[in-house]
Amino acid sequence: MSAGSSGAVDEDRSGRAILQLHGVGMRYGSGDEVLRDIDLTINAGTFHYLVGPSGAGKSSLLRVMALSAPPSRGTVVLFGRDVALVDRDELGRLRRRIGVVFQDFRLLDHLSAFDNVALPLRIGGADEEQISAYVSQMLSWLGLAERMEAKPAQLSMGQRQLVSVARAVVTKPDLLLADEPTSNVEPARVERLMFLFSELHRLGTAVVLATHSRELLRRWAFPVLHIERGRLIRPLPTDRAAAE
Amino acid sequence: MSAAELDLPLDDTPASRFLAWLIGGLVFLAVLACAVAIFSQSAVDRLAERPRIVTVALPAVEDPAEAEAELAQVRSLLEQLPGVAWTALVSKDELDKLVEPWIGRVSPEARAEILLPRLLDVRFQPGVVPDVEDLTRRVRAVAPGAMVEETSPTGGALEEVALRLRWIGGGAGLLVLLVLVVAVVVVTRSSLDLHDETVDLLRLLGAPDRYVARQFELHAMASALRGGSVGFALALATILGLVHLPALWGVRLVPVVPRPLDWILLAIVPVLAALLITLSARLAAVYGLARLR
Repeated sequence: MSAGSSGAVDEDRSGRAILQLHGVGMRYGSGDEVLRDIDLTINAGTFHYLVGPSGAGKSSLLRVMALSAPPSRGTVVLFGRDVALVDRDELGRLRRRIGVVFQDFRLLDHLSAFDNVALPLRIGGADEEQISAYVSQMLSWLGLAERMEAKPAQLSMGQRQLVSVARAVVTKPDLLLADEPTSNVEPARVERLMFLFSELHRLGTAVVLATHSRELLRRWAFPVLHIERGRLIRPLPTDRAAAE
Repeated sequence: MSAAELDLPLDDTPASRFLAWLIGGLVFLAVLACAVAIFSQSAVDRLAERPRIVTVALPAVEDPAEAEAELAQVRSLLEQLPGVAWTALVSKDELDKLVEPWIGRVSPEARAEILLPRLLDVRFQPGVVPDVEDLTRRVRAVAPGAMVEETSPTGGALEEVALRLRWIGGGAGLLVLLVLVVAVVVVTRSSLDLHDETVDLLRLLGAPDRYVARQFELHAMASALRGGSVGFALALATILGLVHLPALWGVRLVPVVPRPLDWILLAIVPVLAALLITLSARLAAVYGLARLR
């Protein structure tokens, strides 16, 4: 990973760049810019926390990285393709290589936990046998074996968050973007989730995890991207970021 | 877990839930309208199946023997032609009745002095259309000066009504199918607007537009099968009722007995409607998704 003009981050690992943001700015409607001059490169197989105070732009940055919202200026290059120039089919192919854990989960209320998790696999054209195996395994591992048929409304907040995480990782994405994925999860399950993210990272997935949790930063040490008032300001060692 | 469950909750909106009912009602009307067209066509076909009659007028010949020989020759020629069922010489009495308006009533003696052409009715087998020009040429080769003209009874008012009903029924059927297409397009577009957040999520998960459009297509197809089956069953019951029930009181509302082919054609109407509905939903979704970019 490396961050350019707005921060002095230069932490490039040997992996190839899978996501590059050049001079990215973003605003909602005609309001002020919520992201400013972001230059950032995420390499394959890296793990970063994204930290910053509330309203600093963490979620907006993740939205731009997830191709959920277009930048108002600058370019986003994902897996070597400038996303502003690709056609819609190609955009879909690029998105299928990203797993996203949304802060508000964004589960489909009319589908069971199983079907919510199966969604990206079905979109990707996996066969039902494969889907059944992967999804059951994933939900069982997250302690939701008994709740597979439950609809989101029948699940606790923490369980919904776990389903949202399962949906993001079930395809073993090349890039995982997680917005506060542990905020509602009970401590015993946080351990499990972090182990899951670490394993994905070990297997080659680049992970960007936005969090407010000092506990996470202390216990699982990974490089930190610090964002404040829409700018990536500087890299922080994990212990300092946790302290701040 | 269910692969059949749609990713978009399309049955959650009143418009989508209403779609199956709407399709049922419109398929009911379309089948009735098409039944009118199909049964009318059936009536027209049957009228066209009536045997055709051609009358051959042989010029008068003074010599009875010569006249007899010529007549025999012409009849032999006609009866050997393919499609001819039989020939019959118009009797003297009938001939007298035919010419009476022109020459008035005359005494038998005076009548004997008037030389009249001999008329020969040629009846064709059902469904055979006589080629009058060719027939004239052939007959004149044997009896120069002979006249040939078709004298089949016309279908009259019944045929006229059947022809009109065919067009009216067919037009009404097409109009109903058109309304069906418009309704499906409107419901699909409004569902797309109502579910834009879910569509956005599917796209974020990498769903191409054809995947999202397929959701609308599958929902429309399921509604078409549900509503279409009910609409078709009700229309069938109505038609059978109109055909058979009045007969119990000796009344015949439908003047033709439907052929097996007519029922098959009617059964195609809901199938055609289902195909149109599915295709319309898909195209409306594809164009709507392009708009949502």
